[in-house]
Amino acid sequence: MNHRAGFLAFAGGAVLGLVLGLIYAWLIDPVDLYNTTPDLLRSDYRHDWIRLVAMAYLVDGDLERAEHRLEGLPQEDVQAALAALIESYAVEGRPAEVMRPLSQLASRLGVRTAAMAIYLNTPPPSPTLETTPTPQPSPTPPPPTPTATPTPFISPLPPLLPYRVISQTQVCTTTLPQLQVLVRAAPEEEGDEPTPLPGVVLWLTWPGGADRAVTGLRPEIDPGYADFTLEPGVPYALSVDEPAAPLLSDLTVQPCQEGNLMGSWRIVIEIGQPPTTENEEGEQ
Amino acid sequence: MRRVLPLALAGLAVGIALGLLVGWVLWPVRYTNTAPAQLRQDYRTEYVLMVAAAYHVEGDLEAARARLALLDPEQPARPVRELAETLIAEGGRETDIRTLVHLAEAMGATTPSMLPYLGGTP
Repeated sequence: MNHRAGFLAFAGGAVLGLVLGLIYAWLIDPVDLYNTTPDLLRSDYRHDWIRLVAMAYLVDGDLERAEHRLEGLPQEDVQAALAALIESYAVEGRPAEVMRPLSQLASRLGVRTAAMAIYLNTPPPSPTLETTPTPQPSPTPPPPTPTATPTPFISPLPPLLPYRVISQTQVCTTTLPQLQVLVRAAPEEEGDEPTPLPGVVLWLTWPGGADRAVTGLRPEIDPGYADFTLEPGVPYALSVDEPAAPLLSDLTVQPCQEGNLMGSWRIVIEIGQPPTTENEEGEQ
Repeated sequence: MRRVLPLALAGLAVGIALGLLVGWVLWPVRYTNTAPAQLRQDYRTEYVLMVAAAYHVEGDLEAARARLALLDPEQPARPVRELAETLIAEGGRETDIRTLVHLAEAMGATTPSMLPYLGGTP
Protein backbone atom coordinates (compact mmCIF):
# COMPACT_ATOMS: atom_id res chain seq x y z
CA MET A 1 0.00 0.00 0.00
CA ASN A 2 2.84 2.35 0.87
CA HIS A 3 4.53 1.52 -2.40
CA ARG A 4 1.36 2.37 -4.35
CA ALA A 5 0.89 5.64 -2.44
CA GLY A 6 4.49 6.58 -3.17
CA PHE A 7 4.04 5.92 -6.89
CA LEU A 8 0.86 7.96 -7.02
CA ALA A 9 2.55 10.83 -5.20
CA PHE A 10 5.46 10.77 -7.61
CA ALA A 11 3.19 10.55 -10.67
CA GLY A 12 0.91 13.31 -9.38
CA GLY A 13 3.88 15.52 -8.68
CA ALA A 14 5.32 14.82 -12.11
CA VAL A 15 2.08 15.70 -13.87
CA LEU A 16 1.71 18.86 -11.85
CA GLY A 17 5.34 19.72 -12.54
CA LEU A 18 4.91 19.08 -16.25
CA VAL A 19 1.95 21.41 -16.37
CA LEU A 20 3.81 24.08 -14.42
CA GLY A 21 6.88 23.65 -16.60
CA LEU A 22 4.91 24.04 -19.80
CA ILE A 23 3.08 27.07 -18.46
CA TYR A 24 6.41 28.65 -17.62
CA ALA A 25 8.09 27.69 -20.89
CA TRP A 26 5.24 28.58 -23.20
CA LEU A 27 3.52 31.46 -21.47
CA ILE A 28 5.69 33.05 -18.80
CA ASP A 29 9.12 32.87 -20.37
CA PRO A 30 8.79 31.58 -23.91
CA VAL A 31 11.68 31.02 -26.28
CA ASP A 32 13.45 34.19 -27.34
CA LEU A 33 10.97 36.45 -29.07
CA TYR A 34 13.58 39.01 -29.99
CA ASN A 35 15.62 37.08 -32.48
CA THR A 36 13.08 36.35 -35.13
CA THR A 37 13.54 36.17 -38.88
CA PRO A 38 11.59 37.86 -41.71
CA ASP A 39 9.59 34.73 -42.50
CA LEU A 40 8.01 34.97 -39.06
CA LEU A 41 6.83 38.53 -39.57
CA ARG A 42 3.16 39.24 -39.59
CA SER A 43 1.75 39.04 -43.11
CA ASP A 44 1.60 42.81 -43.73
CA TYR A 45 5.11 43.35 -42.40
CA ARG A 46 6.35 40.42 -44.46
CA HIS A 47 4.91 41.94 -47.63
CA ASP A 48 6.44 45.27 -46.73
CA TRP A 49 9.79 43.55 -46.21
CA ILE A 50 9.59 42.17 -49.74
CA ARG A 51 8.69 45.59 -51.15
CA LEU A 52 11.65 47.05 -49.29
CA VAL A 53 13.96 44.43 -50.73
CA ALA A 54 12.80 45.37 -54.22
CA MET A 55 13.28 49.08 -53.61
CA ALA A 56 16.71 48.52 -52.11
CA TYR A 57 17.59 46.55 -55.24
CA LEU A 58 16.63 49.59 -57.29
CA VAL A 59 19.20 51.59 -55.37
CA ASP A 60 22.16 49.22 -55.12
CA GLY A 61 21.43 46.84 -58.01
CA ASP A 62 22.85 43.98 -55.94
CA LEU A 63 20.89 40.93 -56.96
CA GLU A 64 22.76 38.58 -54.64
CA ARG A 65 21.97 40.82 -51.70
CA ALA A 66 18.31 41.01 -52.67
CA GLU A 67 18.06 37.25 -52.95
CA HIS A 68 19.79 36.84 -49.59
CA ARG A 69 17.28 39.20 -48.00
CA LEU A 70 14.43 37.15 -49.40
CA GLU A 71 15.81 33.82 -48.22
CA GLY A 72 13.39 31.79 -46.17
CA LEU A 73 10.34 33.74 -47.26
CA PRO A 74 7.56 31.76 -48.91
CA GLN A 75 7.91 32.03 -52.66
CA GLU A 76 4.23 32.76 -53.12
CA ASP A 77 4.53 35.73 -50.77
CA VAL A 78 7.55 37.05 -52.64
CA GLN A 79 5.83 36.70 -55.99
CA ALA A 80 2.57 38.24 -54.84
CA ALA A 81 4.25 41.22 -53.21
CA LEU A 82 6.51 41.90 -56.18
CA ALA A 83 3.67 41.56 -58.67
CA ALA A 84 1.58 43.99 -56.64
CA LEU A 85 4.47 46.44 -56.44
CA ILE A 86 5.10 46.31 -60.17
CA GLU A 87 1.46 46.76 -61.04
CA SER A 88 1.09 49.70 -58.67
CA TYR A 89 4.25 51.32 -60.04
CA ALA A 90 2.99 50.79 -63.59
CA VAL A 91 -0.30 52.47 -62.73
CA GLU A 92 1.58 55.34 -61.08
CA GLY A 93 3.59 55.75 -64.27
CA ARG A 94 7.01 55.14 -62.76
CA PRO A 95 9.84 55.74 -65.23
CA ALA A 96 11.43 52.93 -67.17
CA GLU A 97 14.66 53.33 -65.15
CA VAL A 98 12.68 52.04 -62.18
CA MET A 99 10.41 49.59 -63.94
CA ARG A 100 13.10 47.83 -65.92
CA PRO A 101 15.34 46.63 -63.06
CA LEU A 102 12.32 45.91 -60.92
CA SER A 103 10.87 43.76 -63.67
CA GLN A 104 14.20 41.99 -64.08
CA LEU A 105 14.35 41.21 -60.36
CA ALA A 106 10.77 40.01 -60.36
CA SER A 107 11.32 37.93 -63.46
CA ARG A 108 14.31 36.24 -61.86
CA LEU A 109 12.11 35.37 -58.93
CA GLY A 110 9.46 33.82 -61.12
CA VAL A 111 7.00 36.70 -61.34
CA ARG A 112 5.17 37.33 -64.60
CA THR A 113 2.79 40.23 -65.02
CA ALA A 114 1.52 42.10 -68.03
CA ALA A 115 3.20 45.32 -66.97
CA MET A 116 6.56 43.55 -66.74
CA ALA A 117 6.49 42.23 -70.28
CA ILE A 118 7.08 45.59 -71.83
CA TYR A 119 10.16 46.30 -69.71
CA LEU A 120 11.65 42.86 -70.10
CA ASN A 121 11.30 43.08 -73.86
CA THR A 122 12.54 46.63 -74.13
CA PRO A 123 16.28 47.11 -74.29
CA PRO A 124 17.56 49.97 -72.16
CA PRO A 125 18.35 53.12 -74.10
CA SER A 126 22.07 52.93 -74.64
CA PRO A 127 24.58 53.07 -77.47
CA THR A 128 24.48 49.29 -77.63
CA LEU A 129 21.18 49.57 -79.42
CA GLU A 130 23.05 48.91 -82.62
CA THR A 131 23.26 45.29 -81.60
CA THR A 132 19.50 44.96 -81.71
CA PRO A 133 18.60 42.49 -84.39
CA THR A 134 16.99 44.72 -86.96
CA PRO A 135 17.39 43.11 -90.35
CA GLN A 136 14.05 41.89 -91.50
CA PRO A 137 13.28 40.36 -94.81
CA SER A 138 10.46 42.81 -95.32
CA PRO A 139 11.53 45.29 -97.94
CA THR A 140 9.76 48.29 -96.51
CA PRO A 141 9.21 49.48 -93.01
CA PRO A 142 5.58 49.37 -92.07
CA PRO A 143 4.13 52.68 -93.03
CA PRO A 144 1.67 53.90 -90.57
CA THR A 145 -1.62 53.99 -91.79
CA PRO A 146 -3.23 56.18 -94.00
CA THR A 147 -6.57 57.48 -93.15
CA ALA A 148 -9.08 59.16 -95.31
CA THR A 149 -7.92 62.45 -93.91
CA PRO A 150 -5.08 63.76 -96.01
CA THR A 151 -3.17 65.31 -93.12
CA PRO A 152 -0.07 63.26 -92.25
CA PHE A 153 -0.68 62.68 -88.55
CA ILE A 154 1.76 59.88 -88.07
CA SER A 155 5.35 60.76 -87.76
CA PRO A 156 7.82 58.15 -88.98
CA LEU A 157 9.07 55.76 -86.33
CA PRO A 158 12.68 55.21 -85.52
CA PRO A 159 13.33 51.74 -86.87
CA LEU A 160 14.77 50.32 -83.65
CA LEU A 161 11.83 51.19 -81.43
CA PRO A 162 9.89 48.10 -80.40
CA TYR A 163 6.60 49.99 -80.70
CA ARG A 164 4.92 50.50 -84.01
CA VAL A 165 1.74 52.27 -84.93
CA ILE A 166 -0.24 49.76 -86.91
CA SER A 167 -3.25 51.87 -87.67
CA GLN A 168 -4.84 55.22 -87.06
CA THR A 169 -8.54 55.40 -87.66
CA GLN A 170 -11.01 58.21 -87.20
CA VAL A 171 -14.10 57.14 -85.27
CA CYS A 172 -17.23 59.24 -85.36
CA THR A 173 -19.42 57.55 -82.81
CA THR A 174 -18.76 59.55 -79.69
CA THR A 175 -19.72 63.09 -78.97
CA LEU A 176 -16.59 63.85 -76.95
CA PRO A 177 -13.45 63.45 -79.03
CA GLN A 178 -11.18 60.78 -77.62
CA LEU A 179 -7.90 59.17 -78.34
CA GLN A 180 -8.57 55.45 -78.06
CA VAL A 181 -5.44 53.34 -77.98
CA LEU A 182 -5.17 49.60 -78.36
CA VAL A 183 -1.80 48.11 -77.48
CA ARG A 184 -0.99 44.58 -78.44
CA ALA A 185 1.98 42.27 -78.73
CA ALA A 186 2.99 41.22 -82.19
CA PRO A 187 2.24 37.57 -82.94
CA GLU A 188 5.25 35.34 -82.60
CA GLU A 189 4.38 33.28 -85.63
CA GLU A 190 2.74 34.09 -88.86
CA GLY A 191 -0.97 33.46 -88.69
CA ASP A 192 -1.23 33.99 -84.92
CA GLU A 193 -3.39 36.76 -83.55
CA PRO A 194 -1.76 39.67 -81.75
CA THR A 195 -2.23 39.62 -77.98
CA PRO A 196 -3.75 42.63 -76.17
CA LEU A 197 -1.30 44.04 -73.62
CA PRO A 198 -2.64 45.42 -70.33
CA GLY A 199 -0.43 47.46 -68.03
CA VAL A 200 1.26 49.54 -70.72
CA VAL A 201 1.80 53.17 -69.75
CA LEU A 202 0.78 55.69 -72.38
CA TRP A 203 1.56 59.40 -72.32
CA LEU A 204 -0.38 62.08 -74.11
CA THR A 205 1.46 65.37 -74.21
CA TRP A 206 0.56 68.74 -75.62
CA PRO A 207 2.00 72.22 -75.32
CA GLY A 208 1.90 72.98 -71.62
CA GLY A 209 0.46 69.70 -70.42
CA ALA A 210 0.58 65.93 -70.21
CA ASP A 211 -1.69 63.08 -69.24
CA ARG A 212 -1.05 59.44 -68.61
CA ALA A 213 -3.13 56.30 -69.01
CA VAL A 214 -2.52 52.62 -68.49
CA THR A 215 -3.99 49.96 -70.73
CA GLY A 216 -6.17 47.27 -69.26
CA LEU A 217 -8.26 49.35 -66.88
CA ARG A 218 -11.32 48.87 -69.08
CA PRO A 219 -11.11 45.19 -69.95
CA GLU A 220 -14.75 45.16 -71.02
CA ILE A 221 -13.63 47.07 -74.11
CA ASP A 222 -10.27 45.37 -74.64
CA PRO A 223 -7.51 44.23 -72.27
CA GLY A 224 -5.06 46.43 -74.16
CA TYR A 225 -7.30 49.49 -74.30
CA ALA A 226 -6.87 52.97 -72.85
CA ASP A 227 -8.28 56.33 -73.82
CA PHE A 228 -7.80 60.06 -73.40
CA THR A 229 -10.19 62.93 -73.93
CA LEU A 230 -9.07 65.35 -76.62
CA GLU A 231 -9.69 69.05 -76.97
CA PRO A 232 -10.19 70.50 -80.46
CA GLY A 233 -7.40 72.68 -81.73
CA VAL A 234 -4.68 71.19 -79.52
CA PRO A 235 -1.77 69.32 -81.11
CA TYR A 236 -1.11 66.12 -79.17
CA ALA A 237 1.75 63.64 -79.11
CA LEU A 238 1.38 60.04 -78.00
CA SER A 239 4.22 58.12 -76.32
CA VAL A 240 4.61 54.73 -74.75
CA ASP A 241 6.43 54.24 -71.43
CA GLU A 242 7.85 57.70 -71.20
CA PRO A 243 6.78 61.01 -72.66
CA ALA A 244 10.20 61.64 -74.16
CA ALA A 245 9.90 59.84 -77.50
CA PRO A 246 6.48 60.24 -79.11
CA LEU A 247 5.23 57.62 -81.51
CA LEU A 248 2.71 60.07 -82.91
CA SER A 249 2.88 63.82 -83.00
CA ASP A 250 0.75 66.68 -84.25
CA LEU A 251 -2.36 64.68 -83.57
CA THR A 252 -5.38 66.97 -83.62
CA VAL A 253 -9.11 66.49 -83.47
CA GLN A 254 -10.69 66.58 -86.91
CA PRO A 255 -14.35 67.05 -87.80
CA CYS A 256 -16.17 64.05 -89.16
CA GLN A 257 -17.30 64.19 -92.72
CA GLU A 258 -20.87 63.43 -91.73
CA GLY A 259 -22.81 65.20 -89.03
CA ASN A 260 -21.55 67.78 -86.63
CA LEU A 261 -19.31 65.47 -84.68
CA MET A 262 -15.66 65.93 -83.89
CA GLY A 263 -14.04 62.61 -84.55
CA SER A 264 -12.12 60.46 -82.13
CA TRP A 265 -8.93 58.69 -83.09
CA ARG A 266 -8.38 55.00 -82.63
CA ILE A 267 -4.72 54.05 -82.67
CA VAL A 268 -3.42 50.50 -82.70
CA ILE A 269 0.12 50.06 -81.41
CA GLU A 270 2.01 46.84 -81.69
CA ILE A 271 5.00 45.87 -79.61
CA GLY A 272 7.65 43.51 -80.82
CA GLN A 273 8.77 42.44 -84.25
CA PRO A 274 6.03 40.84 -86.33
CA PRO A 275 6.74 37.73 -88.37
CA THR A 276 5.45 39.55 -91.40
CA THR A 277 4.59 43.13 -92.08
CA GLU A 278 0.97 43.77 -91.47
CA ASN A 279 -0.93 46.94 -92.02
CA GLU A 280 -4.45 47.83 -91.34
CA GLU A 281 -6.25 50.23 -93.52
CA GLY A 282 -7.58 53.33 -91.96
CA GLU A 283 -11.21 53.97 -92.42
CA GLN A 284 -13.42 56.86 -91.82
CA MET B 1 3.05 10.68 4.83
CA ARG B 2 6.67 11.44 5.48
CA ARG B 3 7.62 9.13 2.64
CA VAL B 4 4.94 10.39 0.25
CA LEU B 5 5.88 14.07 0.38
CA PRO B 6 9.48 13.67 -0.84
CA LEU B 7 8.26 11.45 -3.66
CA ALA B 8 5.65 14.01 -4.66
CA LEU B 9 8.28 16.75 -4.64
CA ALA B 10 10.63 14.59 -6.67
CA GLY B 11 7.83 13.95 -9.17
CA LEU B 12 7.13 17.66 -9.30
CA ALA B 13 10.77 18.42 -10.01
CA VAL B 14 10.95 15.80 -12.73
CA GLY B 15 7.69 17.10 -14.22
CA ILE B 16 8.92 20.67 -14.24
CA ALA B 17 12.18 19.64 -15.87
CA LEU B 18 10.26 17.66 -18.47
CA GLY B 19 7.90 20.58 -19.07
CA LEU B 20 10.78 22.97 -19.60
CA LEU B 21 12.49 20.52 -21.92
CA VAL B 22 9.36 20.19 -24.02
CA GLY B 23 8.47 23.89 -23.90
CA TRP B 24 11.91 25.31 -24.60
CA VAL B 25 13.70 22.67 -26.63
CA LEU B 26 11.50 20.01 -28.15
CA TRP B 27 8.40 21.99 -28.95
CA PRO B 28 9.02 25.67 -28.31
CA VAL B 29 6.54 28.41 -28.98
CA ARG B 30 6.87 29.51 -32.60
CA TYR B 31 5.79 33.05 -33.18
CA THR B 32 4.46 33.70 -36.64
CA ASN B 33 3.07 37.19 -36.27
CA THR B 34 6.08 39.13 -35.17
CA ALA B 35 6.91 42.75 -35.85
CA PRO B 36 10.16 44.24 -37.19
CA ALA B 37 11.18 45.21 -33.65
CA GLN B 38 11.53 41.52 -32.84
CA LEU B 39 13.84 40.75 -35.72
CA ARG B 40 17.34 39.51 -35.05
CA GLN B 41 19.88 42.33 -35.01
CA ASP B 42 21.30 41.60 -38.46
CA TYR B 43 17.82 41.67 -39.96
CA ARG B 44 17.06 44.91 -38.11
CA THR B 45 20.13 46.39 -39.74
CA GLU B 46 18.92 45.22 -43.14
CA TYR B 47 15.52 46.66 -42.39
CA VAL B 48 16.92 50.11 -41.64
CA LEU B 49 19.06 50.01 -44.78
CA MET B 50 16.08 49.06 -46.89
CA VAL B 51 13.86 51.74 -45.37
CA ALA B 52 16.50 54.30 -46.31
CA ALA B 53 16.66 52.90 -49.84
CA ALA B 54 12.87 52.97 -50.11
CA TYR B 55 12.90 56.61 -49.06
CA HIS B 56 15.42 57.30 -51.79
CA VAL B 57 13.17 55.61 -54.37
CA GLU B 58 9.77 56.83 -53.26
CA GLY B 59 10.59 60.02 -51.38
CA ASP B 60 7.88 59.25 -48.86
CA LEU B 61 9.21 60.52 -45.56
CA GLU B 62 6.07 59.65 -43.62
CA ALA B 63 6.25 56.06 -44.79
CA ALA B 64 9.91 55.89 -43.76
CA ARG B 65 9.11 57.40 -40.37
CA ALA B 66 6.25 54.94 -39.83
CA ARG B 67 8.46 52.00 -40.70
CA LEU B 68 11.24 53.16 -38.41
CA ALA B 69 8.78 53.77 -35.59
CA LEU B 70 8.23 50.01 -35.58
CA LEU B 71 11.82 49.70 -34.37
CA ASP B 72 11.92 52.71 -32.08
CA PRO B 73 8.57 54.39 -31.47
CA GLU B 74 10.12 57.11 -29.30
CA GLN B 75 12.94 58.12 -31.65
CA PRO B 76 12.36 56.73 -35.15
CA ALA B 77 15.47 58.47 -36.48
CA ARG B 78 17.77 56.85 -33.96
CA PRO B 79 18.28 53.52 -35.81
CA VAL B 80 19.15 55.45 -38.97
CA ARG B 81 21.59 57.74 -37.20
CA GLU B 82 23.26 54.91 -35.31
CA LEU B 83 23.61 52.68 -38.34
CA ALA B 84 24.94 55.51 -40.50
CA GLU B 85 27.56 56.36 -37.90
CA THR B 86 28.52 52.71 -37.53
CA LEU B 87 28.93 52.25 -41.27
CA ILE B 88 30.88 55.48 -41.60
CA ALA B 89 33.20 54.38 -38.81
CA GLU B 90 33.62 50.89 -40.24
CA GLY B 91 33.93 51.99 -43.86
CA GLY B 92 30.70 50.43 -45.05
CA ARG B 93 29.28 50.58 -48.53
CA GLU B 94 29.17 54.07 -49.93
CA THR B 95 25.65 53.58 -51.32
CA ASP B 96 24.34 52.40 -47.97
CA ILE B 97 25.92 55.30 -46.14
CA ARG B 98 24.58 57.85 -48.59
CA THR B 99 21.02 56.53 -48.49
CA LEU B 100 21.12 56.48 -44.68
CA VAL B 101 22.53 59.99 -44.51
CA HIS B 102 19.95 61.15 -47.03
CA LEU B 103 17.17 59.84 -44.80
CA ALA B 104 18.82 61.10 -41.62
CA GLU B 105 19.00 64.54 -43.17
CA ALA B 106 15.32 64.43 -44.07
CA MET B 107 14.50 63.42 -40.50
CA GLY B 108 16.71 66.12 -39.03
CA ALA B 109 19.06 63.61 -37.45
CA THR B 110 22.39 64.42 -39.03
CA THR B 111 25.63 64.30 -37.05
CA PRO B 112 29.06 65.79 -37.80
CA SER B 113 30.36 62.49 -39.12
CA MET B 114 27.69 62.57 -41.83
CA LEU B 115 28.73 65.94 -43.21
CA PRO B 116 30.98 64.56 -45.97
CA TYR B 117 28.04 62.55 -47.29
CA LEU B 118 25.43 65.28 -47.23
CA GLY B 119 24.08 66.67 -50.45
CA GLY B 120 25.21 63.83 -52.70
CA THR B 121 23.03 61.41 -54.54
CA PRO B 122 23.22 57.89 -53.14
